[in-house]
Amino acid sequence: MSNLRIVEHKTGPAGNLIVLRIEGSIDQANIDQLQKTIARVVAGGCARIIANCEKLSFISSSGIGVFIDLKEVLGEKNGELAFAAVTSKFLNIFHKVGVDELFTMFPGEKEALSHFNQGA
Amino acid sequence: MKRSFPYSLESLAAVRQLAADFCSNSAINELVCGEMELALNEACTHIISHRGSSTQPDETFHVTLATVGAMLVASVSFPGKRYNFMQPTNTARAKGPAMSLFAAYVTRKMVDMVMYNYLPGNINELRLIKNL
Repeated sequence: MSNLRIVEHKTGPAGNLIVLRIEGSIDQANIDQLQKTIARVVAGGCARIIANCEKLSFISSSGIGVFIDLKEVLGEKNGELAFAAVTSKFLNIFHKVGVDELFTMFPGEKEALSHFNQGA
Repeated sequence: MKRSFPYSLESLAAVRQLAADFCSNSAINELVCGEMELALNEACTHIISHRGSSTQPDETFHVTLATVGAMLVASVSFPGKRYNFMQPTNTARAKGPAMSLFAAYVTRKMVDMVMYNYLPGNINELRLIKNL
C-alpha cells in the first residue's frame, strides 16, 4: 500500500514560509496529492518552502520532477525551495540523477529555518 | 525471488518492498538497494501506466530478483506484443515528452545496464542490472 502524508507547518513573520513534513512514499499512485498540496500552498502566496524529508521513504522520478518544477515556480516569485534532513539514500539518488546541485539542502529543519530567517 | 503483481499503481509499493526484502536478505547495502528500488519503480510505473487499461483484472506482470555472480539482476516480464519502454505514458504525455525522458534517464542512471528481450512465447522482459 502506497502511503503519503504531508504535514504543513506555517512559520515566518508573515506566514510566508512553510515547512512540508513529508512522510511515506511519493510515487505515481499518490503524486496528485503532492502536486495539489504544493499548488494550494503556492496559490496561497507562500514562496518559501522547506521540504523536510526525514520520514520520506521513497521518491520516484515524477516526485523529483515535481520539486524541480516547484523550484522554478518559486524562483519566478523570488522565493526559494530548500530540503531538510535528506537521508544518505536520497542524497545518493539526487547525486546520481544530477539534481543535488540544483537543490539547496540542510542537515535538519532547524538549519533550514535559520537560513530562511537570516534572509528574511 | 519471484512475485506477480496486478496492473495497478497500488502495486508499486509492493514491488519496491520485494526489492528491499531481497536486498536485505542478500546483505546488499542500502544505497544499492535504493537505486534498484527506484529503477524497478520506474519500469513498473511505465508498464502499469501504459498497459494497465488494456489488461484483464486478473492479469499480472512478474518481477524477479537474483544475484548472478557480482551482479544484482531485476527482471520485469509480461506477455504481449513487443513493448516499447521509451513510449511516453499517458501521464508523461500530459506533461510533455520531457517527463517520459526523465523517467528513462533516471532508470538508466540507477543501474549499470538495461536490457530488453522479446522472448519466445511473446514474453517481454526488461532486465535491470547493477554491478555489486
